[in-house]
Amino acid sequence: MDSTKWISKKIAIVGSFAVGKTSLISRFVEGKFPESYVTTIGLKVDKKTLEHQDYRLDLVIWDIAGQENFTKIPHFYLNGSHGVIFVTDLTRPETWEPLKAQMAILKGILPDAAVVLAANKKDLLEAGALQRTLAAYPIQPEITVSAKTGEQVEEMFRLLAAKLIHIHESLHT
Amino acid sequence: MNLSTLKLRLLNHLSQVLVFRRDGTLVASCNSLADTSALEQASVYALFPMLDSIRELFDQLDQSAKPIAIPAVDGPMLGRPGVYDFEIYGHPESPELLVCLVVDHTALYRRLQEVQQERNLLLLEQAYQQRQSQRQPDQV
Repeated sequence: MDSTKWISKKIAIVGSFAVGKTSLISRFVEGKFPESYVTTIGLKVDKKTLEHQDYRLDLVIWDIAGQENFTKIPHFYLNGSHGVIFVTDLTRPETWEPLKAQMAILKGILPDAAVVLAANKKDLLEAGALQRTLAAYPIQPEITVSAKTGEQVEEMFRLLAAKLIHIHESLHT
Repeated sequence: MNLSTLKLRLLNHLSQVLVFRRDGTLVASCNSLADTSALEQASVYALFPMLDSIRELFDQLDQSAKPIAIPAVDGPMLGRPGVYDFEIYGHPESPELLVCLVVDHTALYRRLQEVQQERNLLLLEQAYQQRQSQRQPDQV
């Protein structure tokens, strides 16, 4: 008998503008990398089913337009999110220098949500520069990814899936 | 023709009202933006994964509650591309029902998107120039 458990979760992708949120989703959902930058307006919603451990997760992915100032992110887009991927751009310090304050704001809005902190555009840095950049991060990203090459993109979503399952099980057992 | 009827006629093509049960079953729709006649008894949650993902928020929606607003949703509404504002209300006459108002603001949001794109590109360029000028003294 199939013992797979089926759950549906809302996840929000947030971070400053042009950090690659839409590209990461496109890479994960469609396996493609959009070559040109088109700013997201408001919200785009995608869906992908991920099998992880003995769960089948319907991930409804809310791609929320990036804000220059994270305090301006509209709460109505975040409400009801079970998980969040916070994306930064390794090549632009202004997207990760205020991370401590940004994560505190996020925790204030969604205290119970699973959160993954990711650093994108790994492909643009050579190993030494990547190490130096990560050392300067105020909070260490849990994963470094590249939407362009696809490196670690699925792993990033799996990392969030594992956290979502952990929270789900703690609430339902 | 009274003003209310005239207003309705002028705005009708920009919005759609869907009435559905709390379990998601579509009960009625005005079909102004997209024809749902073939979708009778379909689940609104299957048609709109976005609404499915926040259905637990609807438990608190009753006639007196503030509607849940989700503006500027960029994507097809039942196959019709555009950028829409969604508002979900408790039905004024039945606690078993919910109402979803969808308003098409595509033209406005596409113009905003152009402006935002120009602004973002300018900010990226400025930040890049600033980083370059900060690196210069080290290289001298």
